[in-house]
Formats: sequence, structure tokens, C-alpha cells
Amino acid sequence: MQRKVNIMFLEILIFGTIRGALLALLALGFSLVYGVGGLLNLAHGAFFLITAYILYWTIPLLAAIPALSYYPLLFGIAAVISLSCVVAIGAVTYLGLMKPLQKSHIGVVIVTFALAFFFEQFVSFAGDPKSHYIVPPVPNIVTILGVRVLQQQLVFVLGSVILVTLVTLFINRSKIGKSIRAVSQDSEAAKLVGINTDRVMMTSLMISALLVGFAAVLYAPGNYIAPRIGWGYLLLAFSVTIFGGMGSIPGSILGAYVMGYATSLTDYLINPSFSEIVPLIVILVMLLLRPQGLLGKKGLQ
Amino acid sequence: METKQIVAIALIVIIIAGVGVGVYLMLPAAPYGAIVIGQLVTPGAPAGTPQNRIIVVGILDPMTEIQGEGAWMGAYLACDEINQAGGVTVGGETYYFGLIAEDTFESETSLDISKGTAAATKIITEDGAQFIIGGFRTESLLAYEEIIMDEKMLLFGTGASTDTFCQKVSGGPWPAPPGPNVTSNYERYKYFFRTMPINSTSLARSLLRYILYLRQYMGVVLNRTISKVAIIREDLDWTVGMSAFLNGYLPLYNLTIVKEVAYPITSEAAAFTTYWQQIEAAGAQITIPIISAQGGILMSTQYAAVQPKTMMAGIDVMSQLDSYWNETGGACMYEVQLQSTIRTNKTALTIPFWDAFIEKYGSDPLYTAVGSYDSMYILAEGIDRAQSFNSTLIIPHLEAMNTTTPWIGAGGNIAFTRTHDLWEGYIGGKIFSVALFCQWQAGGNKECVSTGGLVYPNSIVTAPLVLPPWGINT
Amino acid sequence: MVKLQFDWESAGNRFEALVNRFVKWAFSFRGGITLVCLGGLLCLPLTGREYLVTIVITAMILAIFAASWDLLAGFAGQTSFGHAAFFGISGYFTAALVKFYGVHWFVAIFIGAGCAVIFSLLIGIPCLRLKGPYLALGTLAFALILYNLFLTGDWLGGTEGISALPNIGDVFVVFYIVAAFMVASLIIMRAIVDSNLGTILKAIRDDEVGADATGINTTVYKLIAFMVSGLFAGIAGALFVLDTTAVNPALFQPLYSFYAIVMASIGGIATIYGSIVGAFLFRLTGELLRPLAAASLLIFATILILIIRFAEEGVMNPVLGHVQDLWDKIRGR
Repeated sequence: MQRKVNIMFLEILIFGTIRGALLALLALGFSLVYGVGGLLNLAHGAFFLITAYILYWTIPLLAAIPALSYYPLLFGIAAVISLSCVVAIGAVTYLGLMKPLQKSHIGVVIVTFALAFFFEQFVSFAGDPKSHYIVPPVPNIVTILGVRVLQQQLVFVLGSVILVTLVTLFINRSKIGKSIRAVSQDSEAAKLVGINTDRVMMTSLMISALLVGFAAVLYAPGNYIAPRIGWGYLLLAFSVTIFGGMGSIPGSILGAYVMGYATSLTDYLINPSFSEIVPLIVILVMLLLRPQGLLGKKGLQ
Repeated sequence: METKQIVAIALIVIIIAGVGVGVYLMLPAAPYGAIVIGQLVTPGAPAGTPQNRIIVVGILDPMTEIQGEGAWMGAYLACDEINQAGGVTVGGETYYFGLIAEDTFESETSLDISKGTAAATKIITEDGAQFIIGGFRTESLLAYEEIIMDEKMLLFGTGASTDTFCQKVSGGPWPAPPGPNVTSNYERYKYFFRTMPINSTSLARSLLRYILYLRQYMGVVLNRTISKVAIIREDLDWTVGMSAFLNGYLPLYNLTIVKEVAYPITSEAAAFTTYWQQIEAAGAQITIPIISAQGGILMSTQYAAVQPKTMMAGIDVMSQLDSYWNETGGACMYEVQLQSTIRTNKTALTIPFWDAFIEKYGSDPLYTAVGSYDSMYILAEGIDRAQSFNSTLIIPHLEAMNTTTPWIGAGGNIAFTRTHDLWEGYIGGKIFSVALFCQWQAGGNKECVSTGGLVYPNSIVTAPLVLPPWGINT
Repeated sequence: MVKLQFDWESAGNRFEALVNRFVKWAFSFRGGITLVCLGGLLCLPLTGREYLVTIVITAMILAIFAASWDLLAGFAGQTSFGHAAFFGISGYFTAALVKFYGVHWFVAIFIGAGCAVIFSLLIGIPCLRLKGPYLALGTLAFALILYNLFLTGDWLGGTEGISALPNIGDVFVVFYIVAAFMVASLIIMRAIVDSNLGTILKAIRDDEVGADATGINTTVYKLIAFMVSGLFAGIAGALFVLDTTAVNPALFQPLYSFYAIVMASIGGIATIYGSIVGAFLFRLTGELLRPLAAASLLIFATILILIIRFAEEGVMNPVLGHVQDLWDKIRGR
């Protein structure tokens, strides 16, 4: 019995971490875009969706090349292709849709919503409306202290931590990162100093797309993909960002892991059916008690 | 909007339209039975048949989803066959069938039932449908069914298994007690006939009988007592009833439910690894899935990965598709699941239908296809017997299709109950609307396995059951 | 007796003034176009095409819904992403009253809308402090919680909801009823927006801190905005449910909230009447694209993106502006 409880806590810890890693990737980009430009990108979930589908479509195409019989290599190339695509899509979205409408915040919200809707229909039309399955590059199951976990998910956590750290360092240390932080604090002042705010915002959108695409590339294999999954991830990104504080990078990361463990706890201790409602209740409580989020303040930190 | 913006929009729209037309013109000839929305097609009818000699049958379903596609394909095949055989003769005149489809968008996660009701109104008032085949999602069908009942038009349900639809029909010439909280109104709802699938209660009963047989079989083969069962189901309304049913009856047969997992439909792979672990840890020997959505893929792939020592037998709708083997990379092997039809002799018509379907479409027929195929033939027969196109006059002839004088369909002998539901079971060698238990076996073949005569006779079994090689819990 | 005469006279004067205003408006460009469109709308059932009538009914109901959102977001500045909550609550209560308690549909609509008003308070009060994306998410969260509640609870039908509501009458009768509701609702909403209350709301929208500083009780007025918006959203919800004769948890989905937002935006935010244009465009385009089967929704999404991208102020005002210019040119001004 003691062993059972131990295993359960270990499960909560491990799956909470996996969930936190996912939420961190989703929320970081969303929060970044809002912090920099005050833009709510409702197509965030659609970026996840399109990356996953490009991956799904590219793999059989690449499999036709005999040189690529080693699956992880094939997968890696497909992953790079889909990541490049989603980053390009991010850039085009900014230039074509978000920049012209940036004066009207509600306009950006609606146009990105329409874009998300478009991607859902596109994927459904170009492919089909059914759910599909991407074979993971590392399909085995490992047992950690009695808990069985998909190896793919461990790779995912590792990847998430690495990428999140890299992006955070990039924003804090690099020159472009400094521009990003400047624009987020005061875009007028930044313009006066000669920073190209447009390019900065486009860069942050591209980083956001990269983060969420990376989540798709490592998290979607082994899970099902379907045209509608984008919305769920959007809601998660939104929730965690509000929880952690919009525009705050440490807030998003902290919030992601807190939410991850909270969901995991509810899953195991209460009832998995509640894990849908937990994010919602957390948000509402947060909004009522502390609307600016855990670490929310003006500008990026 | 400035002028140049208006010009921009106009240009973009023109370009898209141009590309669309270009693609359309250059497309190869449409494959057999390609779905068209809102246009009448008359496969098999002689060219130049005048409009007043065409019987318009409407297909109301989510036409972009497999259920709708299936219903269309089945009806199309039947229409083609009936027309080529000479159509239907009423009052000395020959009539041919025509099909028209409208999309009810009822499979969208974001359900908007006003689209379903609009589709129903369109198909009746604009497209001129005289009879309707279709229906899938309960919430939506409940709404647009009303429109069809208002018109006193026959509605053949080929996709919804919820008991409600037939409970509403009760109170007819042979009064039967209606279900609880269901207002029955025979006079209004008598136009509804269910041709597929068997209702939820019958499905649950079939499942129970199969589990009882399976436990016996496994007990003999493995020489041990089989008493531990697990249930894994998606947390939706329809599974609650089934779970309650199993929870009520299994203990009566000395089968204990050692673990029941009700997972939210957004569950992901990691969750399933855990579920299988929990089921394994509970020592379950038979696991019963009750799943209709994508959880099935995850369940199957994780089953193959975790390899819990349990036999899987239950309802997994996605695994009915012939593409499931490739989707899961063969992970669904050893899974036994319920489906309405497979290539076996449910009746003398089943195999010819199956082969004709594969020849024309290149894929296995889904249950909605079998249902719509049989519905067309039943309709043709009904019109013939009644010598009329009036739905009200046809009804008594359909009600005459009962267990003593059933209609021989491709999906089984069809006998309607007093509430226009499908009679499930078999009498002697005659198989009515039974659910078949099929197992995915090596090479991607799906075989119909034995139920020890509890659900259907062994005459239609195509292969023996195979137990997973990694063993079963003691 | 003298007093009575005096009252008659002033009342008569006021009535005459009103009639003059109306006539002047009717002959103005906007008034003329409105009356022509209204006339065309009312003649629609005469074509006898049930299908067309059905979709126009849905469009009109959604117009009321979109206008209610426009009032809250465009005029009071409270951008709500969870408007479907009011839509659904009213729908459920109306359905339950009509089906289980045999209440007459007309009464049920108002009781249902009343329940929506109560919920708008329940949702509005916690959301007072929130702004921008926080308000959006908060309202969305409320709607989703209601969705999950109605989905898992058995007490009002669970996933299947309530169905087989009695018909109000045949399609053409329903058309005129809904048209009456739409015209009345929109005129009332426009009147509210043009009144003093509206000015206060606009002040709050533009600069809440400033409005607060001038002594306006922003809390009370924001709540009033929520309640009025909730009332009309509730009316729309009740009509929707009565028209489709069924209600289910799907009404609480974000999809419906976004219907309102998109339709109001296409028509023109902060116009109220723009919602009619938006709703009709949205619905009719969706239905017209039916024959394209699988591609219909894709093309619909594309058109949506194009309109939103290029029509910043919505479609109604710019188009009316252009048409008016054309008309003036024709008349040689």
C-alpha cells in the first residue's frame, strides 16, 4: 500500500513535469507576443496544429527516399521542415494580418481567430477530418522507479527545458533580446531610440511560432492529431499566461509548471474528468484575487 | 475601406474563383459515387428520365465525415443497382431513384444545430426529397427529425443508436411501454425507422453475452478461473448507460470489475500508459473498452507498448475502419471489437454486397453504408408493396417486416419491432441485426470470431480467436 | 377641463414633432435605404421559399445576439468572449419552461431573458476589475464552466439537452415574430446607446479612470451595460431555441461567442445596426457555399479573413458611405 502511494506520487511528479513542460512552451510564446505588442494571437493553437500536420504529411513523402530509412533521422528532417514552415507562417501572419490591424486590438484578435478557423478547415480539407497518429521517433517505454513512461515524453521534457532556457537567455542577453524588452516596456520610446518596432514584433511572433511548433513536433507524435486540437492548446496557452502574468516570462514558466502539477494532482487524487475544469477554475480564482497574475507587471522581465 | 482595398478584395476573390474553376475543369472524371451536395444524381437510371419519374431520396448526414460518406456510398450503390434492374413500377409506370445530399455539419465539435435544421428544410423544400436516409449525432438529429416528422416523411435512421428515437415511436397499434421521460407519440414519430445500428441497449446486451462467452473460452484454454474484468471508457453520456448495465450484470456471473477508467476525451497518450498500468496492476484478465473517438488510437498503441496481461474486447468505433491497422502501425492486433458487418454470410446478400462495395469504392463499407444500402432496398420494396409514394401508406408494409417475414438485407435479416427498432438476435440459422465481434489478426486481417452461439451462430465465424502471446493475468 | 386640453395640445405637439422627425429621417439617405431593406425583408415570406425563410430567421436571431455584444463591447468597452453564456442560459430556461411547465412561448422568452440578466450580473460583478485580455478570458472561462456544468449534469438533459419543443407556428409566422423582435430590439438598443446612458458608457469605454474622476459610478454603469446586453442576448437565445425546437450544451461553446464577435465586427463595431449586416452576411455566405461540400467552410474562412483584414470599420458604414456617394453623383449633386 505504501509502495502504491509512492508510485502514485511519483506518477504525479513525472506527469506533472511533462504537462508543465508542454504548458511552458505554449505559454511562453503567447505571453511574449502580448508583452511586446499587446497583441493576442488567437492563431497560437493553429500554429501547433499546422506544425503537427505538416509533420504528418511530410513523413510519408520523405519515407519514399531510400536514403532515409532510419526513422529518427527521417523524423528529424521532417521536424526541421515543419518548424521552418511554421516560423515562416508566423512571419507572414504578422506582416499580412497583424501589422495592418495593430491599432485595433480587437481587430487583431478577430483576424487571428479567423486565421485559426482557416487552418482548421484547411487541414480538414487538404487531409481529412479524422484523427490521426504520428509514429514517435523514440517509441519505447522506460520504467522509472516503477512508473512506466513513454521515452518520447522524456525527450520532450528535455527538449522543452533546453529550448525555454535558450529563449530566455536569448531575450535577456542578446542584442535582439534587448530590443524586444525595450519595445515591450515602451514602444514609443523604443522607436525614438531607433529600434525597428515592426521587426521586433515580427521576431517575437516568429519565436512564439518556433516554441509552439517545437511543442507540436515533440508532443504530437504518440498522440492523436485532428483538425480541432488547436483550440485546446490555445486555451491552455491563454490560461497559463493569465495565471502567470501576461508579458512576464518567468511568470509564464512558473505558471506553466504550477498548472502542470495542479492538473496532475487533480487527475490522480480527484478525478481525471475534472482536469478540463481545473484550468478554468484556476483562471477565475486568479482573476478574482490577483488579476495581474502571479508575476505580472508592465513590460517583459 | 479605400477604393484600392476594395479592388484588392475583388481581385483576390476573382483569382480564387478562377483557380477553382480551372481545377474543376481539369479534374479527372469523378470517381464512382463521388459525393455531390445539393444536386440530384440518378446512377443507373436511363438518360433523359423525366423529373416526374424520379423518386428523390435525400441523404442528411455530416457529409464530410466518414459516417456521411458511408451513407452516401451505400445509398449510391443501391440506387445504381435498383435503377439498372429496372427501377420501381407503380401503377404501371416505371420510376427510378435519385439521390441528393445535404450536409448537416453535425459532427463538428462546435455543434450548431441550426445548420442541421437548415439542411433538413433545404432538402425537403428546395431539393424536393420525398424520403430521407441519414441521421448521426443525437443532439442534432433530435432537432431536425422534428422537421421531417412535420412533413410526414419517412426517415430511415442509419447512424444513431440512442434508444430515444424509437422510444418516441411507442404507443402504436401494439402499444408498448415507452422509456422513462420520453414523450411517445406514435402518430407523429411513426415515420422513423431505424435500419442501423442496433440500439444501445441491444449493443450492451450483446457485449455482455460475448464477455460471458469469452471468459468461458479463456478459462478452458488457459485452464484457470477468469473473474477479473476492467472497463475503460470515454467519459460521455452514452458510455454511462453501458457501464451501469455491465456493472449491474457482470457480478451476477461472478465477474468482478477490478478497475474502471472513465477518461476525459481530451486524454493524451501519457494518460493511457498510466491507465493500462493501473489496469494491469489491478490484475484484470479481460478489459472492455467503450470508446467512439480518437481515444481508441491511443488506447491501442499504448496497449501494444505496455503489453498488459489482459484480453481486450469491447466497443472501439475507430477500429471499425480498415485504415486502423496502418494508423496504429499494427498495434491493434488482438483487439476484439464490435461492428455491424464484415465479409461473412450474415445473409446470402452480405458477401456479394461487400465485394461489390470494395470493387466500386476500394474500401470496406462502414455501418452507415450498410444501413443506407438496406434502407434503399427496403424503401423500394415498401413503395412496391404499397404501390404508392405516400409515406403514411407505406408504413404498414414496413411494419409487416417482422421476425416471421423479415426483409433480407445485406446487414442481416431485418425485422422491425413495434417501435420501428431493429430486432436483434437469430432464430435457427436466420441471422437478424446482430453485432459482430471481430478481431484484428496478423497481417492486418480482421476476422469474425466465435461467440459460442450466444450472439450469433458459429456458421459465420471466419477465424478462431487469438490470445495475446504475452499472456493473461492469473 | 382646461388642464386636459393643455395636456392634449402639448402631447399633440410632441407627437407631431416625432412624426416630422421620422419623415425627415425616412427621406434621408440612410433612412430610405433602411426602409427599403426592411420592406424587402418583410416581403420575403411571400416568396414561399421555406429554406430561405429559415436561414433568414437564424440570421435575424444572430443579429440580435451580435448587437447585444456590440453594445457591451463597442459602447461600454467590455470585450466579452463568453457571450454564449447568456445565449445558452436563456435558451435552457426557455426550453424547460415551455416543455415541462407548458408556459406560453412569449412569456417564456422574457423569463428566459430575465434569467440571462441575472447571470449577467453574476458574471459581471466578478469581472468588474478586469480589463482587456483578462476580461476576455474571464468571460470565456465562465462560459466554458457553464458548458461543462450542463454537459455533465443530468438535470437538464445532459448532452442531449431538451428537444421536441412545441412549434410556435409555421415558418412564416415565426419569421414575422422574429422580425418584430429584431426590429424592436435593435431600435431599443440604438435608443439606449444614443441616450444619456449611452454617453456615459462611451465615456467609460474611452477613459474609465477619467470617467471615474468626474464622479460617474463606473461600477453601476458597467453592470447596467452587462444587464442590458445580457437581456438582449437572452432574447436571442430564447428565440434560437424556440426556432430550432431543441437546446443542448453546445450553445455555451466558444463558437457562439465568436459568432457574435465576428458578426458585430464585420458589420461594424459600435454601430448596433451593423450587426444586422454582419449577421446576414455571415449566415447567407455560409449557406450559399453549401454546394461546395468539403471546401465550403474553407472558402468561408478565407472570405472571413479577407473581410476582417480589409474592413477595419466593418462593412456597413464604408459601404453605405460609398453607395451614398454614388447616389449623390447620380442625382447630380
